[in-house]
Amino acid sequence: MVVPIKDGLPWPPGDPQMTIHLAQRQPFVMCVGTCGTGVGDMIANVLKTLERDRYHCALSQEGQPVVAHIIPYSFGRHAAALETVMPNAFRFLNLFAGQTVINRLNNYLMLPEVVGGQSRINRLENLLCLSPTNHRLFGRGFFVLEPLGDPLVRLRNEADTLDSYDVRFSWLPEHRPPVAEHMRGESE
Amino acid sequence: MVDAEWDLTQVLDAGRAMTEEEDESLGGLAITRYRFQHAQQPRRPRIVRRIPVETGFVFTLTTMNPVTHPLPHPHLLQLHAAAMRVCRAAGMAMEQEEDWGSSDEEDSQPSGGEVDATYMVQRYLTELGNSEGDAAT
Repeated sequence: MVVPIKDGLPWPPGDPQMTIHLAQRQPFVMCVGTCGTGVGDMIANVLKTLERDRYHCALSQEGQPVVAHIIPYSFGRHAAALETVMPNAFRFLNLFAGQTVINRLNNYLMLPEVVGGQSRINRLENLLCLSPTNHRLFGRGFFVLEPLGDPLVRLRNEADTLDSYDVRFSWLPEHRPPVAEHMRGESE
Repeated sequence: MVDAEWDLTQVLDAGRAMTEEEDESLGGLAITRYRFQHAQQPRRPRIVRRIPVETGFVFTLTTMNPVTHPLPHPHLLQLHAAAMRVCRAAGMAMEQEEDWGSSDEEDSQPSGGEVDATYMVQRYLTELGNSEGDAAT
């Protein structure tokens, strides 16, 4: 869901402090879902993401970015396990990634921190500033951003934090559909 | 024995990974990146340069405060990349934007979505078997 912010005022309205903060910035659009509750938290996380990425697309460094989800918002639109919210995505991931990954996803993003809370799909670790064009391409898988190695290996103590890591950009070509192959063969 | 009327083309031939030049959906797409003079300083607009972003381009994600403003979780980026490789290989990334090729957003057609997901998986596994190491994550 796209929530426009016009004239410095977010909609739906959030924390007044946030509104003031927003009013000092250029208008932008955030592509995050509204959960009905906890909108203030959501806006706070969007603003933190913008601050973290310095109000620029993390990839192209263009201004006026949108805040994009890495794991789609629809996965966590309800505070419940993935198998309940997105049964087909669950089956897909279960086949390719396995139950351990799903359990970690559930605990990290889907399930609420406290009983009755909302999902944590809008946490900063799942948000990234991208230009509107790059957001669209990223969401459709035209390109991917892959960390070089496993940056978490560097964290040896609990107090260690990750303040930077390298990411590799790749375009993702599609597979040529078989029908196209055959049509190509006939035409030659 | 296979009935001659069965068209198993789609199952037996999963296609192959196209090169970036062959894939028309990538045609005309170009990303450039503003080059900062120094990572922690604002750029100087008049002498800013743009560098092309192509496959293999490496850049750094940074945060000024990893406690209050944590970076994207690297494993989530890896998971997104792995899932998108499958979706693009199966040609399912276009229509179901942001849903990783599943069709159950409204939970209205669960059975249809299930067939699609299974079909996609079969195609990908077939492809993996045909060309080891090619386009696999």
